[in-house]
Amino acid sequence: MAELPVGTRQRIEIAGALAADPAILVLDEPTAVLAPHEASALFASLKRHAADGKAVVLITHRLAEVFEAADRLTLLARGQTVRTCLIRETTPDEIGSLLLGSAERSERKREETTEEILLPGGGRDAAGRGLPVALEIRDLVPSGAQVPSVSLSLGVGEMVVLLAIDGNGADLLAACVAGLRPFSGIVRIGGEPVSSGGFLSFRALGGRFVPADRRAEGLVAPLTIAENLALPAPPGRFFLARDAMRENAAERIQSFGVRAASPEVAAGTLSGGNQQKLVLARELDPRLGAPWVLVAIHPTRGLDLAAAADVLGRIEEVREAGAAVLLVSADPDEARLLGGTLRVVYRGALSEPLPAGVPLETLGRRMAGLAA
Amino acid sequence: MSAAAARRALLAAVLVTGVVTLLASLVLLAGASPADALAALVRGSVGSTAALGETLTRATSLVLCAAGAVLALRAGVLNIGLDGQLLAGAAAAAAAGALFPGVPAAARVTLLLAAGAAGALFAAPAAWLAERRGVPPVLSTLLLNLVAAAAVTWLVRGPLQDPSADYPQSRPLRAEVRFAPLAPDFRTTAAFPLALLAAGGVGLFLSRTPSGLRLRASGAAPLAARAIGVADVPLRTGALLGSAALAGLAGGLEVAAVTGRLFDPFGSGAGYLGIAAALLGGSRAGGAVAAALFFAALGAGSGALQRDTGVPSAVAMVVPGVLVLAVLLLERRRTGAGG
Amino acid sequence: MSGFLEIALLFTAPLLLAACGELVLERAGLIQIGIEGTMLIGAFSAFAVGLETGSPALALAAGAGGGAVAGGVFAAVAVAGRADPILTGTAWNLVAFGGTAFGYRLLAGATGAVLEVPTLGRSLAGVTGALLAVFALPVAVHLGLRLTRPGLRLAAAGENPEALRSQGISVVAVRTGASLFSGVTAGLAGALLVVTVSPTFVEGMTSGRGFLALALVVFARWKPLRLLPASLLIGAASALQVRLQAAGSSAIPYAFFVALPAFLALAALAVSPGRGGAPKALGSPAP
Repeated sequence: MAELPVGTRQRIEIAGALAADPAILVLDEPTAVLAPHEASALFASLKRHAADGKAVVLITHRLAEVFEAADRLTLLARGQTVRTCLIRETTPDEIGSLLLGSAERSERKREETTEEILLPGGGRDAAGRGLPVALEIRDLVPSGAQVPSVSLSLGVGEMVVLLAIDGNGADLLAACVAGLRPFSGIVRIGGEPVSSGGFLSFRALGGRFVPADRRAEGLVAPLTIAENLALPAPPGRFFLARDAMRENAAERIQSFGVRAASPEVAAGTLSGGNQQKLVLARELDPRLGAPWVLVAIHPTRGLDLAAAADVLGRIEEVREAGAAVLLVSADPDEARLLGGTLRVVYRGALSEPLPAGVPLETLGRRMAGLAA
Repeated sequence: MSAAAARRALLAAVLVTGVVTLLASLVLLAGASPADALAALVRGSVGSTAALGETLTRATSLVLCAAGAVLALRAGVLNIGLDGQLLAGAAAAAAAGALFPGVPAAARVTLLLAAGAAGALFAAPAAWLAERRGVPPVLSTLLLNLVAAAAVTWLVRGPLQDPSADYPQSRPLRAEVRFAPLAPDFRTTAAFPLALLAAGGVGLFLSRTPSGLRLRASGAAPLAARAIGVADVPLRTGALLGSAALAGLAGGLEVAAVTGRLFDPFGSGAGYLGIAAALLGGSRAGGAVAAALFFAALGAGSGALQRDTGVPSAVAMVVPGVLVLAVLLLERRRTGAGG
Repeated sequence: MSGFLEIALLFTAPLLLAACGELVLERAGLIQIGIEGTMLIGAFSAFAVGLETGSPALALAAGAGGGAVAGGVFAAVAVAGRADPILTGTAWNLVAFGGTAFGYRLLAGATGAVLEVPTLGRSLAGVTGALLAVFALPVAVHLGLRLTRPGLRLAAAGENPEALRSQGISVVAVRTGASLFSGVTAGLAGALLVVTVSPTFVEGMTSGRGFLALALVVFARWKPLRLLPASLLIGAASALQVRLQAAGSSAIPYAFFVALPAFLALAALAVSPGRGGAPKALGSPAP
């Protein structure tokens, strides 16, 4: 069972839950790891279940799913009920604009505080160093995985989006590049090799990483915000420069719009969106020098629209400043908006680069492993 | 008062009430009067200069082991082998102390360095097994405890045996190497302030140094620490060896300041009690020292308790054990909740 | 005691019994290093009841009862309370060492007079029967884990507790059951020491046997049938040690044999990769 891909396990789990014929069935983001056509099949069976007089509660952040599956919706934002109504009483546009209301406010605020991000290599541009390739991946195979090898190269200021349903190895690939999983093959940043499992050399070469699970991998929950921000390079020689830590934390919190009572509260007490902002604030800290490569796995997963837009804006800034960005996403809508080169990962294999205007349906079929 | 502080105060109140109730019921079980028992406990632990000396002497190895346990716990390493490492340090001190000639001060420093190094060396296989073979240190250090006990049995009957003694024990330390009592009628030696200093060093290291911050991060969330670029292997290895060195130092000081030689069985379970003190002290150096002092006072007082009221001195083990169980139960692992 | 084989079997039985219980508990996802303390509790309960009643059978039953209480305490703290099982076990050892020493002092008085209890006779109802039952246990555990519904649930609690819970089965209940079982086996193992090997109680009389049982489980890669040869090997080494000691031979230091089982387990750990075969959710709290 543990060897099966996440998507399959999810289907088995949902099948098990439906088989028990429950009077009330609660599903929390059930489609996160399903392909679009699998999600449609799921909604069809949920509707049959509801038609039998049973209650189904679906929790999702995908607007399309709500209008495909539900009879009634409740819109929540920041723990508050914004709207409750029957589906036929509203439209996707109306709900979308209600959601985006807060997103736009946040966007304006961010532009006011946009900071200067240094070019890689402390201001020298890539041409000056004669290194057009920021990240090179050649014949990479994650250790223990039965998948074809992957080769990929990212120029300075280039973004590649790896689009995949969970369990297809895109996360693993990204973790290998970040030196957190062993692999065979070659990974180079600015021409210098990152060894298998060499998360320290990845960092030293200007690599930055935003992991999939911010609670378990992105932050050290019991440490304070200031301590989390200081972790990659704690200031001070023999003793910690605590004043410097506090000042840096206050500045980071402000410029990334992290909602926190003080830099001295435990990072684990923040909301998901604020935790993700904190991760980015730490990874893009100018104290660490300019990033050459940013690897981000599902950076917006589970965030509300406003926080997601904010996070993607930050990533775009880094790319514009010259970093190569390797982003893993499971959301075709989001991936198309990002503007980078799209590559679908299916069972560990990389597709050819897909054009920006590729139809959503084609993406969905490719992600599910069906012919285009 | 913050919510956390209020919770801690409540916890402390619950624990104090619990200890008093537990002690009273054990005393009643043994058929003695709680008032007499309390008087005996106080008399035996802090009632006189001699009693206080006894308490602080017992506290020395406890404080060191508790500090070692804190260091390992905060790095996420469960070093259950403090007792074995203490024995290794004691054996090294007994071997070196009988031989060393020369200036007393230099000889003492060498002796303590040897004891600390022996403790660390004894834990080295566990560190190797953990990082190279994925063996949890819990298992390896536990097994090394059994090896250490057997090694002491052999040493005092073999290479270290004092030929002039009737019992299997090592030759006594040369007088100039031994620590002298700080005052007549006050058993405690300079070993106790030395132990406090070491514990303070552990606290300062954890809370105030860059490596201490990295160590706490790696212990609290190993995956996150790696993703953030914290080199975890040297930290864990260092914490395990460091905590073992502190236990080894405890063994060395026990020989140099208290017993003067090695015999079998040696040590009074300071390692396990040290872990209990670290847990009761919230895995913080200051709290661990306070808990260690309390356990030491209980140990010293329980001698008088058994002598004067007939209540078995084993209460000094039951109480720490029950206290830690209560702490574990009340400060249960917080399961992931909240946005 | 006569033959070498008999001594070896008598040494093996408590180890095997305790290791079986620990294995079941670990397959359910928990480590209990307080098994040493639980064995002491079992030994002391057996001693106290044996002294009072003169019946070895009742003594064994008391050992099982004491063990069940120990298993209940562990379940309350480490299963229902979700405290770290290793730290719980460490504290439990202190409670058990101190508690049994306290009890023994009360029974024996300050004089420390040696009190003896009657032991099992060498009959099918006595030692022989007990040994047969103990050596059949790994087979029963092996079959139980594979073929019975509770056995499968137990293994699921150790491999994937979330899946078990989403089936509407309480992981806490399953692990509590495993904890009680391991408490009873460890208690019986301690009692067996009293009614077969040494007919009295001594403070700390288990002398590391519980820790060795723990090592055996790892050495056996969490497979019940492999406990048989592993524990027999260590039982035989212990018997050889007694033999040599009795013969007054000093060719091999006696301490070597005391340390041998620990060395063997360490070597086994060094040679085989640590977690290979370990339950996936070992040590993680119940969902």
